[in-house]
Amino acid sequence: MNETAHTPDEALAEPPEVQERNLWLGVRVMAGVTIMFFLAFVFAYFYLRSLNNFDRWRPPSVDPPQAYGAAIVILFVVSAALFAYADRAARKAAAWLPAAGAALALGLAGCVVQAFEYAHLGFAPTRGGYASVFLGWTLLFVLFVIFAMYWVEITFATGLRHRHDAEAYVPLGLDAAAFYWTLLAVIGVIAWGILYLL
Amino acid sequence: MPEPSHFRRILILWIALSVIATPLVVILAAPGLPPGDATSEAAGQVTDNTVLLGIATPIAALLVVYFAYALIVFRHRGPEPDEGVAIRGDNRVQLTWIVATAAIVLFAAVYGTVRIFGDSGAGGGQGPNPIAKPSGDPLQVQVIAQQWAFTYRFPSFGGVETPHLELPVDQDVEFHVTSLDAIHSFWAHQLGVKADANPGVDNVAYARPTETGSFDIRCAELCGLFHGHMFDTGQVVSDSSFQAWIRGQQREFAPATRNLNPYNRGYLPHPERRAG
Amino acid sequence: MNTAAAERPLWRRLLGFNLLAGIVLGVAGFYFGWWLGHQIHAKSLAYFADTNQNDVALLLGYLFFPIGFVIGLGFAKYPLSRALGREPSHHENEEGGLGRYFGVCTDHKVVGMQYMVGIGVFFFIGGLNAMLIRAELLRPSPQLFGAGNYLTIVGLHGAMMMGVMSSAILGPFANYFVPLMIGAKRMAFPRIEALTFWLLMAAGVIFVSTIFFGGFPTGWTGYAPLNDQANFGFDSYIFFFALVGLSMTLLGLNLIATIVTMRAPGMTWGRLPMFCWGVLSTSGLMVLAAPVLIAALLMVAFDRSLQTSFFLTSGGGSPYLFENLFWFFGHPEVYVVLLPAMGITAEIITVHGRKKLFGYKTVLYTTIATGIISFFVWAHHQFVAGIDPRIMATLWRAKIRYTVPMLFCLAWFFNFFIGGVSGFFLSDTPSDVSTHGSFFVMAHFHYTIMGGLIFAFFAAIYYWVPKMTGLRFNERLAKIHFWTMFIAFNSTFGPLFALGLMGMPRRVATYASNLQPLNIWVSVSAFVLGASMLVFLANVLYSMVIAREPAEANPWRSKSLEWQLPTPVPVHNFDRIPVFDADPYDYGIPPVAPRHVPAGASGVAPYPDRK
Repeated sequence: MNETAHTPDEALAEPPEVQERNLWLGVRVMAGVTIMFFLAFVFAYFYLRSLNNFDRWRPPSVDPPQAYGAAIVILFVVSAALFAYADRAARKAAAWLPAAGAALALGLAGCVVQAFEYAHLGFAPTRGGYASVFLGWTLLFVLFVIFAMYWVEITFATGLRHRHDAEAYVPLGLDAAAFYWTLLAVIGVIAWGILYLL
Repeated sequence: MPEPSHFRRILILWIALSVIATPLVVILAAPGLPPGDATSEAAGQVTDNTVLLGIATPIAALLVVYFAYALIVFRHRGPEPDEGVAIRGDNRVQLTWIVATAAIVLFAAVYGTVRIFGDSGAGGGQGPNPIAKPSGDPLQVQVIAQQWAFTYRFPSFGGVETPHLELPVDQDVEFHVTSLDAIHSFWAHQLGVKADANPGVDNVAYARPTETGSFDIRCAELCGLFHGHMFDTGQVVSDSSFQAWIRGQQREFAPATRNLNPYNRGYLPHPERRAG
Repeated sequence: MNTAAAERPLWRRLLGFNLLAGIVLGVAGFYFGWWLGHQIHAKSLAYFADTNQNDVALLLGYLFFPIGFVIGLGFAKYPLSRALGREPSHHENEEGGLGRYFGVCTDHKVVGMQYMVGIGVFFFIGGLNAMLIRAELLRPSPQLFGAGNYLTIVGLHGAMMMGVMSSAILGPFANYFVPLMIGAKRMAFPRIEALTFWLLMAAGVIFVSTIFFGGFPTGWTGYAPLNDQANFGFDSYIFFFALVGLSMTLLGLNLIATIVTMRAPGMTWGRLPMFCWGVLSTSGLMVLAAPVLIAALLMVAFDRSLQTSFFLTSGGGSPYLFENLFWFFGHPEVYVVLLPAMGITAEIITVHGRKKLFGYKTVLYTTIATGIISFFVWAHHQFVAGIDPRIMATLWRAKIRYTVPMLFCLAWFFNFFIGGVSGFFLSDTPSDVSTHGSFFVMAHFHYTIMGGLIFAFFAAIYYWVPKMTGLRFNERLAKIHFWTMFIAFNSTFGPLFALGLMGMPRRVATYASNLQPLNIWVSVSAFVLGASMLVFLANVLYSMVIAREPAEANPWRSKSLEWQLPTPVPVHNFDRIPVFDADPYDYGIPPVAPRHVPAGASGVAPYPDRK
């Protein structure tokens, strides 16, 4: 095999601006993926609701716990807002780590509250179409949120390592992460509106 | 050697081939195609296929002639490949092609629509509210599909449910196809009828048998383990034989008929019993 | 060869993160999920009392198997180090010998080769199933298999082929050649690129394991309510297609990002090779269609494990929900299979006709438009879109060289034309009554998909593999392969149109006895078709292992960038990023010399940057 000699890391890596551009585009494609994924559930919701086979779309006692639902969506939205603020602050070379840390904590708290909600749901998955859509949608949404939290955690951890740097440090892909978490929060608000309020 | 007119040569070859091949296909080959002429619907489908084949033959001839010509005449000779003639994209050529294909497709769409209305649905399932109906008072037959058999209910004969199907000749038949479990499809091949059987849905199809004889019934949508065994043979018989047969069935299945649910356009399993 | 790696003893090299560890951790993951499922099952009998099989355990097993598998392969190292706040890096395991092929490697050329072998194995399994189907259909009554086994084989064949076809061209060829064509050193997300391949492999293993759990009776479409009703083995279908969907999504995302952002200076949109356009529009379809499929399959998984009722009419759901979601994926999927094939034929026919591609813009717009239109059901045929005349016009007064790739491209066109004409009958409503759901449809989509994709796939193999391996194919064996395959293909699928019209439904082992002679003909042709693949394997074995004749760097005298590089392509493709100043399809316009010079090529001064 005809292979070149080992080259140092710096010569191999793509320049940061290329990586930044890749992430910028990649996260937007991923936004499309995420939206299409949850559109399947939006479709399922309205399709089954309009059919209402055997009057089993939503039997009378199937009501989601409103307090939990509101708590979850508020936690997610505040977390996303804090993280978006952190992104802006970092670009202006202001302190952004505390906001990112708070965003991480609130997002994870939202996932924990979701787990509590499942424990106190009051209806089983067998209770008709609405129960199915509710469980499937919220469960998968929380999985996406956990992924976003991992991303938030990366930026936070990298920032923590660089907190004593002389010049302001902005982790690679901070704005991509902020974009994605904001998108998820918007989906979360829509999901809350459809599943809890409609 | 001067460059010959490739265009004129191809045109002549194409016209010659089309003039020979199209009548051969339309007159000799196509009318013998299945599903035959046991019903007016089946005969209609053969006509449609004949028309479509008549259109497709010249198109096929054009492509065959063009390719054969290009591959033989334009093939590269000699060891060292040199360059082809650079032609820029010609809008007229592209436009002609698009207009021609669009015209053919439009014709097929219009023709198909006209035929499906004029032919009482051409044997296809039309859903619960059929638009194209035959005139007069057709014989109603409900086809109930379940894993893995078809049964037939005759509402005009006391709602008797029979395990086999016989139909009278020269009489319009109105099939109401439904299913009790998975999705099936009722395909009576020689009758030219195919209609999906969906649980809870009443799917209507028409046929008018024009000659007596037997026909094959198969399930045409994968419906589980014994999908391949879901077949039967039906009979088209004279009206008097049909009357005799259905009376016999009424007598034979009288005890069962008493216990059946009232005739209904779409049966569904009980909500608490989770079938399929 | 990387000396440091080679010096370590064998046992030490086997002990790291690699395929071996992946298999061990994958199996461990499966049994963990299996165990967990039984714990849950025991504790909530109220939900599951009426079932005699534990779908929860199997689904969890299939969930943890790929997780353990990719951890063992070494995919967890980097995310963990990132979570601890370490700096990002863009490459891994690119140097060094064969070990790269059995773990995470961010070199797109390694991933391309991995895909090539992996997809070949999948095709082999899928093809073997086809042979079994044809053996069963030699007689009109069931003879070899019971009803359940027969449907499992049909489903394995269909789903395996459909699942793998989507990546058959994008996996090996786009991963390998898109960076070379656009002048990039690697893909935009090289680790994700490696992950897509190993996810596909995990999916294949899961799918084949269905035979240990009783198979599944649903065919490749997995329609509701059969999917809720099906036994244990259907769980592997769910995870197979979900993982394939995930792999497709990530592959598409990566290719889009690469083509959009990683193009070298001068590689404008107007100069982008047609193959890249085909890949780009396919990727766009994949990332939008595949997530819907994944969502639908997860709903099935919930129905089967949590006992929800997405698709149960009696529980407030509807089977049509699945059919709708499935075909939202299924229609674009047809074009996911076709568009890259079109890109390949455009490349090869142009190079072999020594002509500029006729109507680059028209082809381009139709490619993109076809992609968009494919989301709507009605536009089922490219004949409307004007794709086909391009090849005709490109052949006009061309200088055609009949090499093996060119033969495959012409055969592709021929098959696709027959597929298109038969689609004309299917789309016409009255005619559709007798053809839909029968062997006629089956013949139609085998002509468009197998005749379309597989022939393009082989054209690409004969065209590009000499570049990938640096070794040339035996021409005589290749021609034998082509002619046996082409004739056997038409002899197999042509009579199926007649069988369909004569009343043979799909997916049955029993048929009317008057159809037997034609079925025997088809079966024998199918066996010959299978044998032609053995000719191909023999050619691979002979040319790549025994004879090992070195290939020229640019045997087709192409002007596209990948052919200007030395053979085999060096590890980082280019020493310096190249600059483009000419179209890739400038054939027929003198002077004939390579116009875009990769800066890494020997002794050529780099062009000044002309953006």
